[in-house]
Amino acid sequence: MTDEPKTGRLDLRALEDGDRARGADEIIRRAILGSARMRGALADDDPRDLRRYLRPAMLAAGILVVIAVGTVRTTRYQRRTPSPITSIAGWTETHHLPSNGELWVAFQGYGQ
Amino acid sequence: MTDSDALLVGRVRSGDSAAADALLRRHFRAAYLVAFAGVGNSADAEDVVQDAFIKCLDHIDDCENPAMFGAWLARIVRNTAHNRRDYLRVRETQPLERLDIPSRHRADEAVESRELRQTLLAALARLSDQQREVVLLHDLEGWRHAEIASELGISPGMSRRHLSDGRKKLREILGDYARLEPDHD
Repeated sequence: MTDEPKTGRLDLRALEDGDRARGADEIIRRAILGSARMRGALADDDPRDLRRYLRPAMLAAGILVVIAVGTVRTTRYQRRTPSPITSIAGWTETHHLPSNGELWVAFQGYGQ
Repeated sequence: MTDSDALLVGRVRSGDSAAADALLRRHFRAAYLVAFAGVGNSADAEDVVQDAFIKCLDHIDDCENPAMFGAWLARIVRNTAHNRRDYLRVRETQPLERLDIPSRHRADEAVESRELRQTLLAALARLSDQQREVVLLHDLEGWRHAEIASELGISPGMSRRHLSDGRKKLREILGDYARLEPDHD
């Protein structure tokens, strides 16, 4: 054993610089950002992040497409309702006096 | 349970930045003191550590024994500190080694922390690099010889020897300034 136990360790606490500007956190963060290798790895991570963030957006877009298709089909169905001539012929045969509402529906507003 | 250095090195190699953070954090203090031993002031030591960390991450594939990552990192820090010291020598007119140790009759003033700090720095500058690293890790940081040996890539016996020689030289230089504390190892 080469140490001298009776003398004890030296008090070197005065070496600690109390007003050090930077700590481990900042140095490590800068080192990781400054490393070309880690920057490359972080860049490789981006597409994965993008896909993660895009997933809910794609789901929302899908829902919108379903709603849009449903709306178009409903409109087409409504346009297949009987023409005003058919309705008027029916009313004539049955001597029915149409109400304003029935006329509105028969003529689909002012569209026809 | 914490991941081993070897495991973290493997994850860093695959681009895991969280593993890099954990690995560098684990070895930060030792790296800082090795850098401080090389350049003698906090600001330059921090710059050295940052540069050495970047080199270490960029060349992590060159770490042949990931279980001894600390020793490998210490070598990079030491080399970076030497380069920095050479650069500072060229730039500055008063290198660290030429700092004067205050005369003993000014002992009362020397207890002022700044002067004491300068005194210690000037004394430490007269040790070899490895003596300085071991003395700082042992006496300032409180590490045991087994830990120092692992981190610096030397044997525990060599760590003891560097400590003993370093302390002896410091006491000769510092004289009454050398304040002692109970030993821990």
